Amino acid sequence: MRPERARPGVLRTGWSRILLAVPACAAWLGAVGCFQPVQRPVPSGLDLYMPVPAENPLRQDVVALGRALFFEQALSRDSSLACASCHRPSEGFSDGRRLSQGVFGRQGARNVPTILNRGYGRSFFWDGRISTLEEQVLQPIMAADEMDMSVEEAVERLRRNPEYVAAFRRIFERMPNEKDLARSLASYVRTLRTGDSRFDRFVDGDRGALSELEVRGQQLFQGKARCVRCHMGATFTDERFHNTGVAWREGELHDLGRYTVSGAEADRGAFKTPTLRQVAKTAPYMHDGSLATLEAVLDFYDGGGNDNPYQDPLIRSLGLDEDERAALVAFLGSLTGVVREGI
Amino acid sequence: MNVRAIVGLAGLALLVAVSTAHGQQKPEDLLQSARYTEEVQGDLRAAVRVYQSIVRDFPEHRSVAATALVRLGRAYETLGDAEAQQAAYQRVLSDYSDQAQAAAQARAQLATLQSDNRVARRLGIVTRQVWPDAAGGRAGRPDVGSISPDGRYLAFTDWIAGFGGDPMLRGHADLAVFDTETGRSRLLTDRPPQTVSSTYVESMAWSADGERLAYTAWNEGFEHQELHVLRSDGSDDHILVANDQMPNVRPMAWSQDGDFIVSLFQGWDEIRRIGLVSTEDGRVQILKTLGTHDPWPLSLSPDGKYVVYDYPQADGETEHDVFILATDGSSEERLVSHSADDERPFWTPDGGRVVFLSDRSGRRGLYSLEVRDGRPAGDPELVRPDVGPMVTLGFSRTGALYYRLQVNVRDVHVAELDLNGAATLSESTLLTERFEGTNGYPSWSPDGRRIAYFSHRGQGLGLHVVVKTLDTGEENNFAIPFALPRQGAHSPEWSADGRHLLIEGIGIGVVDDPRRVSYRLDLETGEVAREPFLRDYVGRDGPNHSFATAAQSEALRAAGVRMLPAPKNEIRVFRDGDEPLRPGEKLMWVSNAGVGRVSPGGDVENIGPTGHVHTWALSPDGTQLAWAIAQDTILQSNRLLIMPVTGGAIRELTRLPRPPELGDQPPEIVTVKWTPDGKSLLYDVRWPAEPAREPELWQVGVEGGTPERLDVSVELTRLRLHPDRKRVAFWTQEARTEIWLMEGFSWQDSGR
Repeated sequence: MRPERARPGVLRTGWSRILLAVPACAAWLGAVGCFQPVQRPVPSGLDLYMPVPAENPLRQDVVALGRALFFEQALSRDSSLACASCHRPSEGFSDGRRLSQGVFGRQGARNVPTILNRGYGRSFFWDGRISTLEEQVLQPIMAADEMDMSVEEAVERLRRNPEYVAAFRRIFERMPNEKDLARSLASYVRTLRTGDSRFDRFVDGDRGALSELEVRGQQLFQGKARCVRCHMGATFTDERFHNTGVAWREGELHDLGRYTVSGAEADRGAFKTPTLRQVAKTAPYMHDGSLATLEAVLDFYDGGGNDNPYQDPLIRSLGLDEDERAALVAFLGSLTGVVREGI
Repeated sequence: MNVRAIVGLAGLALLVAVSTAHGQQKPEDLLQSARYTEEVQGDLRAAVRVYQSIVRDFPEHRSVAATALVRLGRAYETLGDAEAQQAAYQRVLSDYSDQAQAAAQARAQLATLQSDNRVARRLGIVTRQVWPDAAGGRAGRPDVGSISPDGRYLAFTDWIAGFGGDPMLRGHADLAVFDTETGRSRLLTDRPPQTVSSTYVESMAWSADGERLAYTAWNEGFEHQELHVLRSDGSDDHILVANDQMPNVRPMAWSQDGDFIVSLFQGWDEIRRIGLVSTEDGRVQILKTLGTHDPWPLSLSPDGKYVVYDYPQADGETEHDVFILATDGSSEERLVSHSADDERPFWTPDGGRVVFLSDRSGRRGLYSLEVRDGRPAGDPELVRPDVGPMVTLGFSRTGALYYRLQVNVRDVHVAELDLNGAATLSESTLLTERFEGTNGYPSWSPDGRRIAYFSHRGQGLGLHVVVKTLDTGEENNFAIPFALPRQGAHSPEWSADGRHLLIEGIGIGVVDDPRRVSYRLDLETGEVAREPFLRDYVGRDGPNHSFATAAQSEALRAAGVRMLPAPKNEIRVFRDGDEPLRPGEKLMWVSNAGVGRVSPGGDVENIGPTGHVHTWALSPDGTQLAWAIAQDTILQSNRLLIMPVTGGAIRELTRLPRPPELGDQPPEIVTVKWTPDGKSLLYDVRWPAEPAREPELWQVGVEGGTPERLDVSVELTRLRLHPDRKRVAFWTQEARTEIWLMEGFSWQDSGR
C-alpha cells in the first residue's frame, strides 16, 4: 500500500507562498520586516523565552523558507513524503498512526510524536539521542525507514530547483547547503507552538474556563493520579526519561529506549515524557503507539504500568475509579489550545 | 618649666601609676586620666592604651567601657586608623547597645563613615555592621530582607511571638522596616493575630524609588500566597496577584520605572517560573520555566533588560552557575560557568558588573564580573576572599553591598559545682577570652589538669582543638582537617593516659554525608589519623549516640561484649568490614525500642522492658549500661535503668512522675550521663506538658537512694564534670543574625 501523500494543495500552497513571501517578508505570517529580530506572539501558558541558538536566530525569512522545506516532498527518496507527511498540522503535528510510516511503505519502530512546542525541548526523539533541533531536523531525511536520503542528495535536489536556489541565495547569500537546510527547518519547527488552552485561561484567572469535571480532573492530575510528577511545567513534560513498562512484554524489553544512548542500566526501556498539550489530538499514545485512547492510557497507569526490573519507582498503582478516570480524560481535553506557526 | 609642662608631668605620673596598678583603680578614674592624656597632653597612643585596658578589664562597667570605646574610636580617627575606628564603634553597637548615649554616638559616627566615601577609598573595601541583632529574639527566616535603595531601611518579617512564645500561636508576622540610622523598627502592616493555620508575611522587595514595597503573604486559608504592594509608610496596601494555580509567589526586583516586578512563581507542580508582574493590573508574563530549584536572587539590571540568578549546573548537581536572562525573552546565557559553586549574583548599581559568591578558590569569596550587553566582558575578579557564610542581600544606590551573617556565638565557661555538697552552680567565668564566641565542647583530661575544647579560628575560621593547661594557662592549638557534624557533635574524648584525644568529625568532602568518622589526635606530635579501633557508624537516627572511649572499649573487649547503637529500630548485626563475633562474644544493642543482645547465630533477644529509649550511656569503666526508657507515652512514666553490659539484673534507679493529666505527654529524661568516678548518674528532665517549666537537672547514686535536684540551668549535653566532682565546664551558644554592609569597591571609584 502506498503511503499517504501529503496533500498536494498544502505543498503547493506552502511553496508558492514562500516564493512570494521571502521577498515580501512572508505576508502570511504577519510580517514585521525582513531580517528583523523576531517579535514573537507567545500563546498564553508558554514561556516568553525560548532557547534559540546564537548561530541561528529566528528570522521571518528563514522561518518562511523552513516552512516550505517542511512541506517539501523532494526531500524523500521517492518524492512522496515531506516532514509534514508524518507531522500533520491536522493531527496535532503527529500522524494518527500507531507507528511511523516512511517511503515505500516502510514501517518505523516508534510512534510519531508531536513537534509542537519542541522549541522548548532539551533533547529530541523518544530516546533523547539528539540535543539540538538543528541536528534533529536532518535525521528523518536520512533515516531509511523515513525519508531515506542522504543530506547530500537532499541538498543536491534543492540545488537543482531554481526557486530554492534563489531563496537560499537571497536569505543566506549562498547555494543550498546542509547547514542552512537545518537552520531553516529548525527555525520553522521552533515557531510551532500551542498554548492558550482553556486550562491556560483557567490558570490566568478565568474560573469559568474549565467545567466542574475538568477541575476535578486537574486536581487528580496534581494529586492522586500523580501525573504531575512527570508532566509538569509549561509544556507538561519534565524532559526526562522514565520506564513505565510500555516496552516490557512477555518478560523482556522490546525497545531499550534511552539505554541505547546513555548505556545506563536505569535507562533500560525508558522513554522521554511527551508533552500533554494537544494530547486529545495526538492519539495513539506511548512510544510505540500501543495505546489507542486516553482511556487506555489511564487504565495503564492506574494499574501501575507494566512491572519490570527497570521500572521507574514513580510509577505505581493509583486506585482510580471510573469517575476519576473520566475527570482526568476531561481535564486532558482542556489542554487542547491554539496552534500557532510562524513569528 | 612652665605650668603646662608641670601639669603634663603630673598627668604622666598619674598615667604611670594607673598603668602599673590599675587593678586597684576605679574604671571611672582610668577614663578620666585617659581623657586627660588625650586632650591635655595630646598623647593619643598612650590614651588609646588606657582606653583599651578599660574595655578589656572592666567590661562589666558597661557605661564606662562603652564610653571608652567611643573615645577609642575618635582617637583612632585622629590617628588615621579608620579600620580600628570602625571596629571600635561597631563593638559599641554589638556589645553595648544598651548604653543609649554611647550607642547613638557610635551609630552617628558610623553613618558619617558610610556617607564619607573618602574613608572607603582610603581603606579600600571596608565593612560595617548596621544591625547587630536582626532576629532580635524573633524567629528569623532565611532569605528574608530587602534593603531600600538609599540603604537606610531594611524590610523584614517581624515575627511577634504570641501565646507560649510561639509566633504561630496567635502571634503576628507583619511586614516591618528597620531604620539603620535610628536603630528602630516599625510595622508597615497590621495583620490579624495568627492561629496555627493562619498566615504570615514572607518575601519583600523595595521599588527602585524607595516609595513602595512589594511583599508576599499567605491568604487566609493558607491555600496560596498573595502579592501585595503598599507605600513605604504602610498606606495603600493592595493585592496585585492572587492565583490559587500559582500558590507561591515572591517579589524579587522592581523595574526602575516601577512598571513591573520580577517575581518567582511556583505552581502545584513545584516547578519554578520567572515572571514579570505588571504593577498596573497584576498581569503576569512568564519569562522562563525552570525546574524544582529556586533561582536566586533574580537581580534586575538597572536598565531593566536582564535578570541574573543562580541555578544548579545540571539536574542533581548542588553547585550553581550564574545565568542571565533577557526580560524580553530573547536570550538566556550562562554568565558564569565554572565547576565551583557560583551563587547569589547581584547587579552593581551602575549596571556594569555582576557581583557573586564563589568557592572556586576552595573558600568562599566575593567575585565580580564586568558585563556588557548581557555578556561577560572578561573573567571574574576576586573582590574579597574568605567571606565565610555571608548571605548577600543586594546593593544600595550608593554602591554598598548589604549582607546577612548568621553568627553562632559559642563560649566555654567553668564554674564550681560540688556534687557532694550544695550542688549549686557558682557564677561562671570564661575559660578563655581568646577567639571569643568561637569556642565550645570542653572536655577535662583524666587527671583534671587540662581541658580540651574546639575552637574555630584563623583565616576561614578552620576547626582547631585547643588544649589548655589550667595551672599555667598555656594553650596548645591543633588545626584539624575536618569539620564537626552540624548536629550532635561531641566533645573530644581523652585517652586514659592523656596522650591522645578521640574526635568525631565529618571527613573533608563528605560534609553532606551523615557518616561520622573517628580520629585520633596525638597531643605530642599533633598528628591526626583515622582511629581504627572505633567503628564508624551512622548515628543520626539512633538514640542519643555515644562513642566509646578507649577505656570503655577495652573493658567491653575484656568482657567479650560489643556495643552497637542501632538506628531506626533496626538491629544491624554486622556491617561491611565488621569483624565477625568470636565464639562466646556477645553483641549488645541499644535501639530506639530497647536494649538487647544478639547471639553469634544471629538470634535477637530483648533484655528488659521495651518501649522508647530516649538516652543511654556506658559507665566510664565500660562495665555498666544506663538507659532511660518510656514504655508508654500516655500512661507510663519514664524510668532510668542500669544493668551490667554482660547482661544480668536490671535495676531501676528512678521513675519520673506521671503526667499531670491523662493524655498529657509525661516528663522525659532527655540525657543521662555518668559522673567521672562512675558513682552517680546525672540526668535532665523536660516537661512537654508544661512548656513554661524549665528543664531540671538531677543526680542519683548508682547504688540507689533518693535522687537530688541540682541547681544548674545548663543543659546536661553541654556540661562536663571535672574528675574531682567539684567543678564543671560547659559551653553556651547563642544564634544571632547580623546585617552588615561592604563598600569601597574599586568600581565605585571609577565613576561607572
